[in-house]
Amino acid sequence: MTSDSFPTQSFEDSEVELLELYLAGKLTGSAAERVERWMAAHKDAREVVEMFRGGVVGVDTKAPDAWEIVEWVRARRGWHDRRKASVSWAGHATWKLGTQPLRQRRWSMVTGLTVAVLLVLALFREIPWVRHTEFYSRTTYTTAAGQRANIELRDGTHIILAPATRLEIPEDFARRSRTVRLSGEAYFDVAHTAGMPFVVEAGKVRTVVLGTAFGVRAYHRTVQLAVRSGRVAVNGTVLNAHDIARVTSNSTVTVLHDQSLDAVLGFAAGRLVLTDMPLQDAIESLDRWCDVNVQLGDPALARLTINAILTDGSMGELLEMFQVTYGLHVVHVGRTITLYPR
Amino acid sequence: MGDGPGSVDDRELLDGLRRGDGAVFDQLCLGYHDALWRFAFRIVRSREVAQDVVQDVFLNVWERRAELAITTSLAAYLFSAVRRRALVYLRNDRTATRIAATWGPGDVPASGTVGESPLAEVEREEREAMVARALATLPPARRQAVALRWGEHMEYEEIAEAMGISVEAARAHVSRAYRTLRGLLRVMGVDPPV
Repeated sequence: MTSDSFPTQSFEDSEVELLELYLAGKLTGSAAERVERWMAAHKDAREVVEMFRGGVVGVDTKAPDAWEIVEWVRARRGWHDRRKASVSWAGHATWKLGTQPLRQRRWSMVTGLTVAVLLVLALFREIPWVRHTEFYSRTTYTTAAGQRANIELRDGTHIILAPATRLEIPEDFARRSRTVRLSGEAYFDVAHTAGMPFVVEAGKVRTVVLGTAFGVRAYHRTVQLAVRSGRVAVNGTVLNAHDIARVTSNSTVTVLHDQSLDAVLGFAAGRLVLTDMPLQDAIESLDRWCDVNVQLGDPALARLTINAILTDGSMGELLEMFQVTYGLHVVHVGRTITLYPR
Repeated sequence: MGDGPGSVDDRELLDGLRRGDGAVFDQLCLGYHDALWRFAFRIVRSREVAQDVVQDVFLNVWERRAELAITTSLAAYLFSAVRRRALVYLRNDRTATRIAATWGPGDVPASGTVGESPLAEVEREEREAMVARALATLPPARRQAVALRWGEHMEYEEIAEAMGISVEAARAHVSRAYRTLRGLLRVMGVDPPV
């Protein structure tokens, strides 16, 4: 095939290429269906198209967690806005210096000097890397997709991190207070320490405990808590054993009692338990547990109900589940898995 | 996130941004983060540097929110800003020669189907090698343009702005890459859909 070595025509001049428009996301309705039927009829060709597209687009590369960036930018944009305000104030004081007689000028100099000193102090307090909050010096534990971690803190608290999770422990943990910061999901088995409640901060949700075992799920704005034993206070609401609570972004707390915790806390025992979950919803958990990128080749698959227990999170276990248990046709390119009905 | 230049999403985001609405800005960051990071990563080939580049662009957008002048689309503006910063990194990085070598064969990720026969496996590996050879013929700029078109579904005008090239050049890149793919299919005896 050599006619495409040096093409001189752009797409405007030549015939419309359905497949290219489909790859560019410009097709809908019956035209898109025509391409999908073609792919179903030519499975080898479909594989080649996906490999080619994958090689160009780079499906293998998973971006880091967006929330990290958002929080980083948030911290710095507040600093930037305050700095802008301070600078314009100091500028005004300096301008005054040049237009006044000597005696008044000395007062202005004192004012200007004070402003400058205050400004320097303000800047140093606000520069994030010398911030004097309890999280200035801290240890951060991070798991990637497909990974879990076990952590033991100096007070005897035992924590299990689910995949795609970050946990920050301040340097002075368990000296005067016990506060940790979570982004993701973790299971806490908290050692009782009199007079020092254990606090988990996940976004704006604050969970306070004395000695208990519970799980926190904070991958998104809505935070979910599940209590295995003991009592837990979240944003003022008290939870007991076998309670599952959800806190929405506007701080509304909803509590369900007497819940089965296997599905919600399975990760702490090395299991991903999915119970009567539509495939569309299950994809997020599967992606994190197995470090994959599941795509639906047919949108109708979104409603497929999944019941499964995954243990090692290996690609083989997952592919077998799709292929054998659910009878789907599976094409995987790198870590992207595309599902089709048989 | 923004289905094209001047889409409703874009206008809402820009309005919120100009108002200094932090929540809207967070949504913007969350929505564009993954695509911008992958775009930066393709250029700099380092996860941490890509992250730095995207962070800096978001912060810069916030700092200059009152004066933003966006011609085509928010997406194109952001990608263009990321591209400029990533290229600055490459210029300053003495290991730039390493970057040129990472484009090439071996970029086709391993694939497979559960329960395939040995014959099917051999045929698949042959196809993989064929695809890898075809990908190796694509220069970096072409791969970049096609990644924006088939990955982020951008219009040619947006690709042109994001990459700092002309619209005709963007069309030509995609056209040639598609012809390469079509050539692969014809070698297999398959005609593309009509």
